[in-house]
Formats: sequence, C-alpha cells, structure tokens
Amino acid sequence: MKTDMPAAALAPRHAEPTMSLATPEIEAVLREHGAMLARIAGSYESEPARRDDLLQEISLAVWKALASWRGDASLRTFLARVAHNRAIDHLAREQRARGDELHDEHPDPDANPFHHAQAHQRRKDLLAAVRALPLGQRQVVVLALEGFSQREIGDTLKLEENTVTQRLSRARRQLNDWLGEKA
Amino acid sequence: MNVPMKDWESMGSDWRGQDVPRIDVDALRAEAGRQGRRLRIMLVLETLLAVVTVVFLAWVALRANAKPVESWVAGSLALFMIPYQAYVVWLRRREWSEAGLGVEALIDIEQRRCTTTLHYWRFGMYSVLGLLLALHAAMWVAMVWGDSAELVHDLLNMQVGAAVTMPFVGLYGVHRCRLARERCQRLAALAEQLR
Repeated sequence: MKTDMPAAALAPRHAEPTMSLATPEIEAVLREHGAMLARIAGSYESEPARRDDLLQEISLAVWKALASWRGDASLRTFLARVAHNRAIDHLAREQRARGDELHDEHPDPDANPFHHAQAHQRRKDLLAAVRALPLGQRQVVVLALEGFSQREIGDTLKLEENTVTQRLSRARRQLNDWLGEKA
Repeated sequence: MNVPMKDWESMGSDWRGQDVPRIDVDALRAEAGRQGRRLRIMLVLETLLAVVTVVFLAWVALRANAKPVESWVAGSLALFMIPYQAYVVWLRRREWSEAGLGVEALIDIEQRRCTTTLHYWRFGMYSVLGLLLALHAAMWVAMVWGDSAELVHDLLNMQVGAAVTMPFVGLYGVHRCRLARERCQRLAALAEQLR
C-alpha cells in the first residue's frame, strides 16, 4: 500500500488480526503534515486568531476522518481534501462568504524590498496574492504550491485534470500580474 | 503526470517556507473530548425530553377519566412526536465524514441539507399554526352546532395553553429559518466562487 507516512505512524491502535490498513496515529500525522494543514488554513483566513481556530477545526476533522482513510488515495491527498472541505464549511458558517475582502491585502508590486527582509516579504506577498485569488483557483494553487501534481490536485478536489490545468493557468497569470517579476 | 509542476516549484519553496503555528495535540484532544461530550449530552437530553413528552401525552390520552377531545388531541400529538424525533435525529447526522467528497459535492450536499432544515422549520411552524387554527375552528363548530358547553370549554382551555407556548416556538422557528436562509445564501455564494 503506497503511503507517504513514516512506518512508526502506521502502528495500529489496537492489535487486531486483520489485513485492513492501520489507522495512522494523529500525533504522527500532525507532525508530518501539520505545516501543510496550517498553510491551507492560512490561505482561507488572514487574521491569526481566526486562522488558529480554523486550523483547530481542520485538525479535529482530520482526527475524526483518519479512521475512514482506506489508502485509496495517498494520506497527503486525503488530508488536503479533509482540510479544504473543513475550510469550506468554516467559510459557510461565517457571517458572509469571504474571499473578496482580502483585496486590501494585495501585494504592492512597487513595495520597496529594502525595507523588509526580502524572503519574508516575498512570502508575505505570495500569501496575500494567493488569498486574493477566487476560491476555485485558490484551492488548486495552494495544492500546487504544496508540491501536488495535477493528478493529485484533481484527486483531492475531485476535479477533472483539464479543469485543474485551466484554473492553474488562470491563477498563474493573475499571480504574475500581482507579483510582477517576483513570480 | 504525477510529479510536482516545475513552474510552481520556486514559488512553492517560498510558500512552504512560511512560519506556521504549531498544532497543540493536547488542546486538540481536550476539544475533541468536549465536543463529543456536548453532542452526547444533547442527544440524550433531546431523546429524554421526547420520551417524557410522549409518555405524558399517552397518559393524558389513555387515563380513565380522559375526555374524548383530550384523548384525540394528546393521542395524535404522541403519535406525531415519534417520527418527529426520529426526523430530528436524522437531521443531526452531522458527524459524517466528508473525506470522500469533493469540495463541490460537499457544497451541494450542504445546500440540500440547508434547504431541508429550512423546510423542516417552516413545516414545524405551519403545523403548529394549523393545530391552533384547527382547535379554534373545532371550538366554533362546537359552539354553533354542538350542544356541549364542556367541550367548548376544553377546546378554549387548550387554545389558551397553546397561546402561551406557541409564540416562543414560533419565534424560535423564525430564528432558525433565518439562520438556515443565511447559510443557504453563503453556500450559494461559495458555489458561485468555485465556478
């Protein structure tokens, strides 16, 4: 069974004489993939307290969903899907559907890089630009930035591969416009 | 093609270089425990309340000195309560794993669920209103064509009892409908953004 989990993480919770795939331990999963989950949460919520709340919701959802992971998708794909679904549910519970309100955070292509540490500024600009993308594009971009292949993105979001290609291409153009040379 | 895309790699390294908050597993464990307890307590309380209500209505309907109108109204309500509570439990099935669903399918199922909730509360409010009107109509029928002052008196008493509690049920129903409508609108906006 193909998995991107370390062997220790796949230790069964209860030693049962079955051939079913062992449920990974939450601690190991969060250690391995917690940063990705946090970045996904950050792509939906800019305000730190709200982002932390969303991250906790995502982590809880991951915990509950882990038992249903059957290994038909890689664990990383499975976790990304759970995280995106939880984030969508989180958005649906907000007072209004967000997505446009982050436009005031658009990166300024003329920002003077000498006023900030360059790498830090680049990450900040990238995050702001990703958050400003329309939701459908934002989801595929976040996964592309996490290093997912187009097929994995399609599997995670249950999208056709040509839809993924189309959204990535549009998003890429948009990011290039916003981030200028830096992209 | 199942390899990371080249043209996203340089941006990806910036992306993955972000400072991210650490996930506190102990806090998570505590929250999971709290949520589980809250859910179990709520389900137990709701079921207990439904059982007590059904038992009380059955007692009213079946007691030896029950008046026919009381037996009919209380008996019908008791019979109505059982599928009603089953429906409430069905609506509470929020603990399903969405892991197998794509985002668009998730929004679609949530929209349908939201619409069901809206219909459920509207149905509840209109059926309560219908019950009140039926009692009122029955009272007028009894007054005009009947010859039992006692029946009119009983029907009037039931309406007075209902008039005290129904406004609260109605207001709560309106509140729940408003929440469900807002959620439907937000889901529609999200679905639009995903297109």
